[in-house]
Amino acid sequence: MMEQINFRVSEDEKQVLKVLAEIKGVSITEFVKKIVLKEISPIRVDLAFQLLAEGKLSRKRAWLLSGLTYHEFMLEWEKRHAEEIIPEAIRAKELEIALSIDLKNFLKTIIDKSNEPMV
Amino acid sequence: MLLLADTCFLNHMRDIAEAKIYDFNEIWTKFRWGITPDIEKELDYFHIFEFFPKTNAYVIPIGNDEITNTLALYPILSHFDQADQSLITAAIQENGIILTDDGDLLIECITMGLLAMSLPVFCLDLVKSELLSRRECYQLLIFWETHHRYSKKDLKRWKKSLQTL
Repeated sequence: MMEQINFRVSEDEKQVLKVLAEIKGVSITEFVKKIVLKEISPIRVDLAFQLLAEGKLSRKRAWLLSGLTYHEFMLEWEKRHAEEIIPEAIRAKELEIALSIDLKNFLKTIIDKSNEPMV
Repeated sequence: MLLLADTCFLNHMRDIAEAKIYDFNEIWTKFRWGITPDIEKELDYFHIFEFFPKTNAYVIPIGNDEITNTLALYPILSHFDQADQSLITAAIQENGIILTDDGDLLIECITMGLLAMSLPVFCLDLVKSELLSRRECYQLLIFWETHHRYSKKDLKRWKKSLQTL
């Protein structure tokens, strides 16, 4: 899934970028992309966990913002003693839901039997 | 009815299996589980199908029109990404259970009256359904406790619940 970002630069700024990109042997857009990503990479992880702690991001968004693999993200999670705040009532309801459901009903074999025609 | 897992949930199961704590793959392949095309894109991107083969999943054709209809009914869902919106739409259509390790998604689903649970609670349900032993579940809870994956309060609640199963 690739997305596009457009922004305007002055003629002088474009000339600078053009020269630098030529030195690196890449296109202007590729050069700018690399510079931006390099610039934000050290702060992404800190920012992700800061926003998570402030309750502004949930686990998935924080993980995606961090730019880490899920495993690396969870190692950071452990290191930083991160926590996602889930209201007490939601946790209680979640458990209530789970204890009212028999997961055997979701097994393939059970479903297949239920699809058999009734005699 | 289907189990509808999000990217965090499947990643978490893979993470635990790779840490050799418990291999969820065997049990997961026995379930009827579904994905949407948007979730499929995410799982492809994060190489999750290398662990949980795509062939075992039912792809529910949730497109932009279905998602737009869901958002018209529940505008609050607009802050979720398209993959999560499609998962909620699929849960409404298929009367499925959403399995998620993302707090926001869990809170919203339960608030909407949908069936949803996180991985530890899913494990408790597996014990209750006699598909996972108490010992295995306890080991998982200890792992989560040791590695600070969930709050102490939540872990205490789940340990207590395990004792009653």
